[in-house]
Amino acid sequence: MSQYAVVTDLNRCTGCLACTVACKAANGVPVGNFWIRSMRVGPVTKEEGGQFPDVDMYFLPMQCQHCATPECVTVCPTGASIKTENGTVQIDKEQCIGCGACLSACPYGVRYINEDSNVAEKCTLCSQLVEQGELPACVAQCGARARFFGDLDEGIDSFEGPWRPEAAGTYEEQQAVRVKIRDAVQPFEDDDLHQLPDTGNAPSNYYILRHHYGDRRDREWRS
Amino acid sequence: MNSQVYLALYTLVTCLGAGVLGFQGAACVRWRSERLNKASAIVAGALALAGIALFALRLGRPERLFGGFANLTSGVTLALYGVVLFVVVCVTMLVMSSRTEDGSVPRWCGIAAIVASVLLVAGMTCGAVLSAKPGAGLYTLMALYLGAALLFGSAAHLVLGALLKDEAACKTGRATLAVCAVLAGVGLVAYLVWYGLDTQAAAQATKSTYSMSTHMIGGAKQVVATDKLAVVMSGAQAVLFWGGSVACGIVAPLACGVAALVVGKGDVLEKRGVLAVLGLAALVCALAGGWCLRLCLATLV
Repeated sequence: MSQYAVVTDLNRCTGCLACTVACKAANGVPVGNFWIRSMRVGPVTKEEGGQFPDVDMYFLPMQCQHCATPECVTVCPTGASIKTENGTVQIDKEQCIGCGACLSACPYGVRYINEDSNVAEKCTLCSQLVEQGELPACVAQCGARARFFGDLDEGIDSFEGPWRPEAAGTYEEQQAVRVKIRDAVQPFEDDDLHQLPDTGNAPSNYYILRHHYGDRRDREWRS
Repeated sequence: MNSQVYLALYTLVTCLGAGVLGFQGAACVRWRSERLNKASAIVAGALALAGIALFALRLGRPERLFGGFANLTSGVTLALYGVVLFVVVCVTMLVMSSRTEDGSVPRWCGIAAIVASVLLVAGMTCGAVLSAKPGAGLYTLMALYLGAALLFGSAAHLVLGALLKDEAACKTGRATLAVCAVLAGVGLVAYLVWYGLDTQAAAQATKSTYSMSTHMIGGAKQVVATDKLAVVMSGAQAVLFWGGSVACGIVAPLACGVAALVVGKGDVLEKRGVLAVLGLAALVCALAGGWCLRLCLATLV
């Protein structure tokens, strides 16, 4: 059993929406629906009663968290929503009856009913790409190189993202160049790692947001 | 039609069906209202089937409804099994009452009707409980629905008793209507108190201020659960809640129940016309209030 997940360095994320666009292109997500949304958290004043420009703000790519104990799987009456061997939560569209129970159960609001097929849809973590050894589209196309994909069972240090090649090569060769997360981003500690609120569902994705860079105060996690 | 409308109608109709059969079950056990057995079984069974039809209409793929019986951890599956059990008990009561001249049924049939009614409401509640969401994982919702089922059932029992000239049903409906209105109010208060406590705890745990980055200017903040309660109690839906759910849905049936106690003294069969009107008024008010409450619940959850 594995637990595939995505780690996003929010100190790097620029809110460019490349993840959202890449996801839509790779998965044919209908207009008006999203498998990954680029949320903005803030701006809020750093201190109680503080004044602009002394504010905190960061972007938060929001997608299915592929929870360890997903409530959407528990409430699905048909068993269409399943937790797979690689830890991702997937939907069997042939079984889904479109009751919307999973939409209501998800604490992050990342599911929707496809208006054409009338069944639930959400992020699959690009299972069609991952099965071929590729990275999920939102990771591969991240404009700020802020997103990394891997198996949580092997530790966050094993997570990989796309990286610039040493020398020019074919598109496929360039696509295959990867970098480990610790080699790509600024140093981070365990308490810089955050997850969305856990209401018993145990989300799998992590977000890096550093409270301090050395002695300098940075941003506070507010999600 | 919006799927929330189908859902509201489904819970409303199901509560009414559970109330009708549950009250008749209690009648079979305690006060013997034989004349109502057939009518109650037919009405309750029809309401349960109407409920499941409304539920199916809100599905994206209603033709796959039977796939919904597959996962026993799902509240929706439990709700579907609850309906099947309920309809089986309705049919059993109908068959058993047809076998006797006076329409009476064995005591076990009454007990089965009570159990099936409670399980129907419990299953329906499980289908609506979302344990990962603040304010939605509350089994006090069951108290809310059971209170509503009692009120609907009491009013319907009084109406059916008056129409079918059943003295025991008239007496019981008259005696229980006000009490059931109070119990429905208690269920509502219990739900709202727990909702407030749960959402307040969740709000303290998280201080989210999300907005879509594509709406950079004037991006609307997500409404958190504690704000939703304010919208219902004192905001845009205050009239719907206080006027519809409380005044029309609980206070008016309570007034009808008190009036039935006052004017229905003596021979109830002589005054069955007045009792039927009061029972019907209470039922209509309770259903209208229940509809308003479900619109408020759609905002809360």
